[in-house]
Amino acid sequence: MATDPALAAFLALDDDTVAAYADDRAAALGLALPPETRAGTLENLALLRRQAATFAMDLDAAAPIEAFEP
Amino acid sequence: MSPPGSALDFRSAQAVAADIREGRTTAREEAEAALARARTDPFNAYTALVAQRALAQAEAIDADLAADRPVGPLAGVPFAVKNLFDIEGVTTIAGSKIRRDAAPAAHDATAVQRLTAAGAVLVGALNMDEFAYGFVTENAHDGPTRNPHDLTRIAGGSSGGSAAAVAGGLVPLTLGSDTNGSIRVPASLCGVFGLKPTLGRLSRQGAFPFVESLDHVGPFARSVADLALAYDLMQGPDPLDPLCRRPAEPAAPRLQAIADGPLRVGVLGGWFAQGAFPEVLEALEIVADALQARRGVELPGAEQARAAAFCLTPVEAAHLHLPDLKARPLDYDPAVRDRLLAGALAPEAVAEAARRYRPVFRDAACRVFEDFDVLLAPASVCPAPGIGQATMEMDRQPVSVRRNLGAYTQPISYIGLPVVAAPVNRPGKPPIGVQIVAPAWREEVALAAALRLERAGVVAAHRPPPVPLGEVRA
Repeated sequence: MATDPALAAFLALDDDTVAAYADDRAAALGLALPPETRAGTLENLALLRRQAATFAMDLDAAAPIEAFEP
Repeated sequence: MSPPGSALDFRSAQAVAADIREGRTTAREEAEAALARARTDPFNAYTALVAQRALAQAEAIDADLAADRPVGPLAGVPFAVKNLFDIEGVTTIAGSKIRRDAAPAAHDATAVQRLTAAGAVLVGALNMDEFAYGFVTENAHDGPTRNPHDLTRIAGGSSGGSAAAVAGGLVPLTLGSDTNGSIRVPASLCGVFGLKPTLGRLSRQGAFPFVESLDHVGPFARSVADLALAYDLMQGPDPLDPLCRRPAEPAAPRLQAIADGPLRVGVLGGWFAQGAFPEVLEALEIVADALQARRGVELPGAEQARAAAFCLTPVEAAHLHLPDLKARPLDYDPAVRDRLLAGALAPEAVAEAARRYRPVFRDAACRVFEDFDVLLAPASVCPAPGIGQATMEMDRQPVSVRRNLGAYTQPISYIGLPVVAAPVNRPGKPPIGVQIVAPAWREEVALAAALRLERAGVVAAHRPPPVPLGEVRA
């Protein structure tokens, strides 16, 4: 399970709760979501959540992030 | 040679340079011909021309040759660049509407500077997906770039203009960028060679950033020799790109010997075979047979790596775009905007997790390379889809074209490995490319494997069928 609280909360969303999460985040960022953008944004956010779940669950959030070298 | 402004031209960059050096043509004639082709570009590859600059540089090269002064190895060879590269005096639009009012660039990007110093003559800027976020080059502002092999199909992206310009005979050499596959996918779909070097090998200075931790730049060409020469000419440290610190390690002089020596080749299985169209797997088999490759090599964690790259991309990119996403979201291409907005809303911890997974996957790849010199994988899931085509079938399931074209390229660029995208020789059939993946900093091995295949006739850049020229543009 992800140990970072923000990540854990994000991964715990389901498709029905993504919209409320997005509205809260948008308000916190001062980012308006025009009606034309809403459906696409929510769909992509839900996709990000599903994709993140495939690699982020078992990572140690306390481990330092190295300056990546190929 | 093609008369100026009429036929498309399929000579290699080095053949053009030799024709100029040996007096069969002049740099001025070549520049005029390239500009004339650009003005009647049937592929919508170009978005801007720099005619005055091109003609002035060409005349200077002709003057140097007339006076027996030394010239660079690409003296007089026309080239063009994806419109995210800075060109002095030209606004770097990066495929966007947002940047059309930005100030013109004060200097050329480092890669443009280095090719220009070698004598190559810049003729223009090329179409792309907005801010390099896409695999289709169906740009909402500049229109779609058409595949020279079938004008009803996409060129791939995001460096679609760069691939189409080379495939279609507009110029022999172009530059593109690759964050998740944006050199390899269009090279594959247009049937040309593309090189995505190791992360940090070539300077990104002056290339408008997309995802700085994943961005690469590299060349497109119609032969391995041209690809290697352009790559060598752009190498070397650049204090203006903190990732670009490595001394130049020229590849071209070493290719022949490596190509003639033993190569341990593996074909990636698992994730890299899932959902591939049958003709893609057939093309891969042709290459694997020619290199006597071992099949079914597993690269553990590839699916997770693809997902991590998929997540890191919008979250990191959204940082750069947040002010514009707040101020003028409707000026973005909708296909790009909604992904950037989602990236802005996702927690930063998603990007941090993607960065944490990166060395895990890199180390897994290093272990695989203990047994292989190069690894093969498809460069794209399918041949070029139609322009406007939203979905395709993978494993009999309808999936989004835009989201899945780069499924096999994303894990590799995520860890910055060098890759040559090579067009499989399938005359009369839609182009399909393979990825030849080498260990970090070993571009010469991937290029040598491509050279061996090219010499055997297994990979080749085909001349597309004749197309009517477009309307003359200013």
